[in-house]
Amino acid sequence: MTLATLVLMVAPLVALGACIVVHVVLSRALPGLPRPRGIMLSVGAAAVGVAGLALFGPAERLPAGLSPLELAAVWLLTYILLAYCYVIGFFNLGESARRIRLLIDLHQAGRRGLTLEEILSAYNARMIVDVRLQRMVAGGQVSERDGVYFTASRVMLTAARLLVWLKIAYLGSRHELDVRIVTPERGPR
Amino acid sequence: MRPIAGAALALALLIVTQLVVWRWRRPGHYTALSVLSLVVLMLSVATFHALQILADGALRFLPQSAWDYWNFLMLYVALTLAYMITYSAVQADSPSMSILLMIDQAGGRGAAVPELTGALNDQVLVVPRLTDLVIGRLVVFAGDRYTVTPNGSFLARIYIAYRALLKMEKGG
Repeated sequence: MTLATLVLMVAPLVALGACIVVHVVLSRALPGLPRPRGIMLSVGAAAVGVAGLALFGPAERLPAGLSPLELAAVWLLTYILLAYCYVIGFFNLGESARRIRLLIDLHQAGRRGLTLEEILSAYNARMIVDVRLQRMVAGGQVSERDGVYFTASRVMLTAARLLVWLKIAYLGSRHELDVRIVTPERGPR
Repeated sequence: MRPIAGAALALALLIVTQLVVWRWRRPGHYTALSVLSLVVLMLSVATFHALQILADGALRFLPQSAWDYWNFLMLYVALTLAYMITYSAVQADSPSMSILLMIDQAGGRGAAVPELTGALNDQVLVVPRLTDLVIGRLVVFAGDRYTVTPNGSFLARIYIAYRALLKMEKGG
């Protein structure tokens, strides 16, 4: 088995690597590019690459059994799922996860750490709500008139309702605070 | 389409098993879900193989060759990771989703910021996430101060470096 065959066998992973590289290059070269567009471009570029490789690449190097069309479907699906993991599970955590933001603030505070009051002076619920409202207005999900917010698009709202349904199915409750499993002995609620 | 059908069946088995097990006893961390997905993978491979032997390879929608199983494995791992990430979104209340639902509930009169921040306060949006960090041993809480652990620092450094690589500011 040659190196080229091995690379072909993990084509969706290679495509994920290409997607991350394109994303980094685009973010650095075009800082003004809206972030969702940067993500779409990087994910799309690597998707075209992996589909093209399956359809027109050196398929004779691979074991027989799947037609080029079937291979394209399998690789594309695998790659899209991996890209979803990168975007939602990694990039988006750095972008909007409260846990990561708090962790970075505490890391930057060093060994002394921070009290709850110090943490909240730099990062609090008001800031979290304001940032998300700005993002949702920019994304067209909500509209604002005289400081009052209204539903503008039902796409994200449908996703939010689906999430509530999944919460009930998995956790038996609509809200996480009703179902918290473990509470640290000394951490405030 | 054999790897896709196989992976879809295995994922369905994982979801059903998780729903049943989690109703009985819900673990508080992801190790249990990872172990469950591994068990489902082994069970699926053994079942597919046994079914193909019994049917003398006639089941065309299930993996047959080693190449089929390799593609099935890659797809199943990707599906499981995506599923786990989505499940984590189910566990924690997303501020954006909560805001959208509150605005929708307000109907035609809309919702103003004080109304939103009245319900979505620090005790709802910040303190539970700090508690998660303590439970995950990324942060310790002692003498009224939160301090990051070596594991927490390591994770924070990864995100600081990654955001710097993207030339992006601190998120949140």
